[in-house]
Amino acid sequence: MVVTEVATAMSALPPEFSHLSPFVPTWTIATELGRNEFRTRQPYVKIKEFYDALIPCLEQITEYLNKLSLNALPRDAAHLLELALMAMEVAPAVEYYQGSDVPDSVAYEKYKIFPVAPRYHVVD
Amino acid sequence: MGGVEKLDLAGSTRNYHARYPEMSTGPVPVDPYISDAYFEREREMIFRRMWLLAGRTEKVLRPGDYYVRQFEVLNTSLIIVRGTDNRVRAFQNACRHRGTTLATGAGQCKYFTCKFHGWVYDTEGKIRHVADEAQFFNLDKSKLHLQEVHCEVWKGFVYVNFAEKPRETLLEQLAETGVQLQDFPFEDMVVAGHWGATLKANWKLFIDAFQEGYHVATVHSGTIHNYYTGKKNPYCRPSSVRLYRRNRGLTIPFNPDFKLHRSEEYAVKMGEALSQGEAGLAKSLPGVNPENDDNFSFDINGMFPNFLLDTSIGFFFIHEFWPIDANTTRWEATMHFPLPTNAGALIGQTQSLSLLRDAFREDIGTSEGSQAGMRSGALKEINFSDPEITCRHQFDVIDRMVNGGW
Repeated sequence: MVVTEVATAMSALPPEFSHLSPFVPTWTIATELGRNEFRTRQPYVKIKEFYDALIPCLEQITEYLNKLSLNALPRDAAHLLELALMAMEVAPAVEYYQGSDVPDSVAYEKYKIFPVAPRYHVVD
Repeated sequence: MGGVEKLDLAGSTRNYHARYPEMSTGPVPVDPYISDAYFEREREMIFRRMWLLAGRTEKVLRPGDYYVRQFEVLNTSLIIVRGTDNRVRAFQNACRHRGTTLATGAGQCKYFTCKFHGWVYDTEGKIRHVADEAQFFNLDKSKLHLQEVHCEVWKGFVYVNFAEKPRETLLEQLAETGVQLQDFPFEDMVVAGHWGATLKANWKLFIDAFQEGYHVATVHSGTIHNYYTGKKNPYCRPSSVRLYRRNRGLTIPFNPDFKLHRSEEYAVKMGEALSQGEAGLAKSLPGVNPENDDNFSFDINGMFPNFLLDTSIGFFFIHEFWPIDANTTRWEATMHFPLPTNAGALIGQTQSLSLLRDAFREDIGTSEGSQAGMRSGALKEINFSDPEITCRHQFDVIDRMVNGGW
């Protein structure tokens, strides 16, 4: 029972977005570096599947989230925001080069993604 | 405005030297891009004399906020700190006792305490405490404050100058570019993305990779080339170029036939975006698009010596190129957007950040190869085309300065 509750909390989204909940455990990452590392490890088919699931919902996601303050997002709304941020992370991969990582570019290990000040805050 | 001559960006006309006929057109020697001796002269004649970018005031908003900046080219680091009197100052990051590095990273403090023997300095650089002071011999504490380096702030850009007496003020150095950008709202935008790499490439060559459009069709073939290239401008020529005493500027147009992708359409709806096409033109901002390009995308402002300030409608991005030696450079780039006030703005900005970051990975992919080719001794000269006049201008200005010019 406890296990189920934890699993539910981890995948929690506002009810109207529950169809996206299978993505929550692995595709919600708070930082750009984390999102980029995750993206480059995914097979492209998974990226495309995620993009195709998220892009049609962006307007509805925005409408929901724009009613909330970025300084005090409930956990389920933060999950939703992080899914949308991940959609933007994978957008160039799908829309431009159809692969998990930028082709013909400097080696991944040589390129640093530095942290920036958080631009939203979660209240539990 | 009107009256501005529109250049033919697809034909065989060579537009840019026509505007600057005094500029040379012949091959450029390779030696300045690989020579240790030449680099030593750049260090002394340029980096030890010019105002150098040392960050943004957004990192030192409150008294006591500080950060440390490395200047490998001068083998030193500085503490940039806002004092209790609210002034931003720069100090050599070296304790006056035995030279130990005082601070690292960034933070907020009332005092800097040396980790070696506990000497204490305040945020205005004054020495405040020497542990077991009576054991020193004739210590004159009035001469043991942190060593201050000239520091000026322009539009939130912190600049430092290591010369004993700078030859010109920061505004004199910024010159025409400073005037052009004086009303751009730099201070309304914050760092939203920050990327970097240290590569085996000369700093001048590294800058060149970001100050012409000729590479766009090839280097960016995996990402944004079609946003900039098209029938009207297949090689991404600048729509205008401005060459000054040391600084330079060029305007990069977008391809009006480009069809936005779905994430880009979303980003444009939410605010400003890298590939915003015509949507951006309706907004405009002071200081950008100085020659009224109908397809304006962004300006590249070459801020001598080692900083590109790329301004657009609703955002700006910076490239800093910090030489370590003749063949090694630390590059850092930051993208600046207004602080998002809602989730839509944040998501939209993130689209631009991902795309720009991926495009920069392509940009920096060629520099080590260029350096390797030059270092191999295979060629003694390189060639710049007419639209690469900005690279030639940089070469000319630096060559003038390392030979004693100013």
